[in-house]
Amino acid sequence: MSLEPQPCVDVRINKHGAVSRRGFLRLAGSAAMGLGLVDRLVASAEELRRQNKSCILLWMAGGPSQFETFDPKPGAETQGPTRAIPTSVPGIHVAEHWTRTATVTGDLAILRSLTSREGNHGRATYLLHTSYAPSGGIVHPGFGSLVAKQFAQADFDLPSFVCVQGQSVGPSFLGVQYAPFVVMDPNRPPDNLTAPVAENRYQRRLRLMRELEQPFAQAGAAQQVQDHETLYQQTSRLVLSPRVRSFNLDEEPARLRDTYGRSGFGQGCLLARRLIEAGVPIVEVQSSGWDTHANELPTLRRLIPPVDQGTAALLQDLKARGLLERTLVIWMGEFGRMPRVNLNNGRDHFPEAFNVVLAGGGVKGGQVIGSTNRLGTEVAERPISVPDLFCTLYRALGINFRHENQSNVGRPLRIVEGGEVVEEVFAG
Amino acid sequence: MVRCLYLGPVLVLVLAPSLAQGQAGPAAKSDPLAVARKADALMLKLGQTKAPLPGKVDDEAFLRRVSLDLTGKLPSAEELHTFLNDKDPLKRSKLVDRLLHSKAYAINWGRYWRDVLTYHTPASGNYLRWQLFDQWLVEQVEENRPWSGIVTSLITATGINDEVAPVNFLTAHYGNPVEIAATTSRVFLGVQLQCAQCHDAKAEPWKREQFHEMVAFFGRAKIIQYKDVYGSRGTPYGIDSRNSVQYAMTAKKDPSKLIPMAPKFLTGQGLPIDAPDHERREGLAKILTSPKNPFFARAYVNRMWTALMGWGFYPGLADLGTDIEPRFGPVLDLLEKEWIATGYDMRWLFQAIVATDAYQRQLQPRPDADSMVPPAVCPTRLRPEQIFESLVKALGFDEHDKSIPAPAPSSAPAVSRHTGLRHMVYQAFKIDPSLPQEEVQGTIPQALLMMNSVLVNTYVAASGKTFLAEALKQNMTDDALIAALYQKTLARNPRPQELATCRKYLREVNNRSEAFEDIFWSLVNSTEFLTKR
Repeated sequence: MSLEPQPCVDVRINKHGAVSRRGFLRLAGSAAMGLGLVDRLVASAEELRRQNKSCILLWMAGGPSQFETFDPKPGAETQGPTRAIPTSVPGIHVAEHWTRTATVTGDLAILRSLTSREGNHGRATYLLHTSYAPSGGIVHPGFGSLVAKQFAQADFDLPSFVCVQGQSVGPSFLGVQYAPFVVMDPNRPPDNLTAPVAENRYQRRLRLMRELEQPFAQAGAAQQVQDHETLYQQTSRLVLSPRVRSFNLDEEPARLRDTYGRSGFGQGCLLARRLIEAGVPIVEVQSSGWDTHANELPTLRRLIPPVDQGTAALLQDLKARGLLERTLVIWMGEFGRMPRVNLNNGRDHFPEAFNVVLAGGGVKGGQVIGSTNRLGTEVAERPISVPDLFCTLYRALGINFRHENQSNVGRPLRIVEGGEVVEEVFAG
Repeated sequence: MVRCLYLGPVLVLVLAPSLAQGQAGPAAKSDPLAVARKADALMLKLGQTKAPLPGKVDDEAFLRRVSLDLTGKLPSAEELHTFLNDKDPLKRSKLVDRLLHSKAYAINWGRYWRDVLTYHTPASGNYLRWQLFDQWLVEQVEENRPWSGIVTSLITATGINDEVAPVNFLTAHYGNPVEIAATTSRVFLGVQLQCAQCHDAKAEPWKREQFHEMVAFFGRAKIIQYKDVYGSRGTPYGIDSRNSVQYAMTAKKDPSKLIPMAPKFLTGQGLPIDAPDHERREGLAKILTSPKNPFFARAYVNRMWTALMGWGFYPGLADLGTDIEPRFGPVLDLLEKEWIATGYDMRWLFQAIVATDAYQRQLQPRPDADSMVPPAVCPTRLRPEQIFESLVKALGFDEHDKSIPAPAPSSAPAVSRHTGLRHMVYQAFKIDPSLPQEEVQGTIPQALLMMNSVLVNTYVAASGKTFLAEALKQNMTDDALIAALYQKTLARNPRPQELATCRKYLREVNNRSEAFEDIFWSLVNSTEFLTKR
């Protein structure tokens, strides 16, 4: 199954609908001004929304060891004491402790040959969220913001990109309406979402504020007051929306909450499912602590079970609700870890060969793509670059990854530069 | 402090007269007020408008505007009262002098440069000792060190970043010469160069070689990690010289071929390819801070003008070196020339800009990109720490009050290195100070914080240990209490229209405490609270 990328052209239109002078200069000579272009923009977006894909990114902050996750090397000197266990798919093994994920391997595409050159947390996190290495001056929009912008509907009352248990890479020049809405603790509704007074008093305050703003608007700040008013309308729509209950996990049966696991990650996965059901296009759920430079094994014994449980429960729940086909689930971190265990019984950063797991959204499960050598010291077959990975992710979501945005330095910036879709992910 | 510089036998350099470090002040410094008058005359001559010019702001508005611009803080009700009743005809310029010599001024502008220089880097912890860097920048501003000296220190810094504060400029870029050169060019020269990293830039005149020749100035500086694993220093990074390497550019036609690059500046001054690290970076600093450099002073003046006026001579802060014509160019030329003659005196430039009629006119909406209406201040969004200071003043809370829930900083690399309530506000409002105002937008989390947070709602309440609770106990008239709230939140008195609205609201709600809570809340949530006018 291959999706036709939607052709579309973006124009740098600022929040007031005016093409910025810089953007205009760059486009001089192009006949692409005016209503026809805007119609085409709207048409592409509508078509995308009808396909109605969603995305859940499970982000393992710190760089999870591939030896102790999805590319174990049984028998190799580099593997350490962690054993490999069989999964529901004959021939595919994962590291021990991933017992529940092993039962849903039929839905997983395990990519074992990711490779990059960024071994620094900040830079690699940026790379694995934007497909670009950080570069002075140009701030690339993050994956979540890009997806949110493609799928967001103008009158939607929930945020279009939610990030659970951490911060994510932001929207840059796409605009703050695509910034990640952060939920630090999925067990509590997000900060400041509850109106502190009854609804009628809340509305009354807003009316008072609007009236008091008029003299300032007349004194030269009309645009600022207008923008502020728009923001407050949008925000109060969220606060007063019945759908804000999507953030409240108390509405889920206790048994289901137990199935996901009562950890932050587990409940974060459940929250992600609720939010995409409510129409949020993309949710990122973070698990941190994977930067195991020291005492790796005890740390992983603590970290893995909640992630194993939450991930498996999420996939099973999505499947049971008929949502898996239209929800791309991504499991990844910013790099892997070294084949050689260090003096502190840990593994250091290793971007040269690491793994990523995909499921749902048209991904063909039950397969391994690419491989590393016997010792896990390098990619052996079918290397996958980070741009390759992102071409694949956007393909799964039906987003044209060659589309150019006008960046903050007035230079066109493709969503992904270079790379090719890993077709095996969808083949079949 | 004078540095001795050994320069190699082959030398193509423009030598700057005296300016590398030390105090400001060759005798060529003009009176900033005289320069302001000249600038105003030029603006009137160049400006085109049929409408009458807006009048000067009143004392109340001037006090608020200049306090925010220079110190990042609102004046207190007492300061407002004193200033309004001062009969000295020179009170405005004396106020400016006082503000420019306050600690708050140094903190405000030290923070500004801290954010400008580190906003884009994901570095934290060992690569960037943020508090130390912040402190150092504040000290430089407080001492009124010439801008040329500050930039020289940043570019030439060597040592470990938890000992030598300016080294953090380099380690925050992971010691990557390409990144350092790109930021140096963008921030200190106002020249956007990094498009030329890979190809000849289409709209700007720079060639690929020129970018890489610029990088070569940093090509022999090496980042080193210092492991103090058992001590309290963690593993800080530092910058040292590595004179055995040569910075090279990949040949475009054959990426496996590397072409070693000799350091050369955009306007042609260069150094021999065997020049060691310290010569390269000291050489670059001299080139940058030479009075003949076409970008260095111009970029700074444009940036400060933009920060104070809300609009710039150029559309962006990094538009120099392109075919974009600045508007009111001769005014920029004048300020640039006069500022260079002061030895890059930062306080002087603030004095000059703030003394202009343009700065002191009533607020105007942002002009269109090519408008030639004579300039005035247009509204600008306050920076996050300025908003925090305003909240502290308006709400009267203790920054370290642990009883108010404040989310802990996340572990992801993030710009904010604060803790507690300051972090909560900074995190919500953080923004790149170099972003053009028209790209600054409010966000939902900001609105949620101001509307619904425990912090705001606790302290606008009519009960508890709050300003409003105390004020309601005293027998103030409604008008007096309304005025007190305006002074506390917006550092001004209410206009008749605003008073009328509040009085009407009090009548409608018919519950004094509740109505005043709502008025207080509305003022804190207003656009004006977040805006410099």
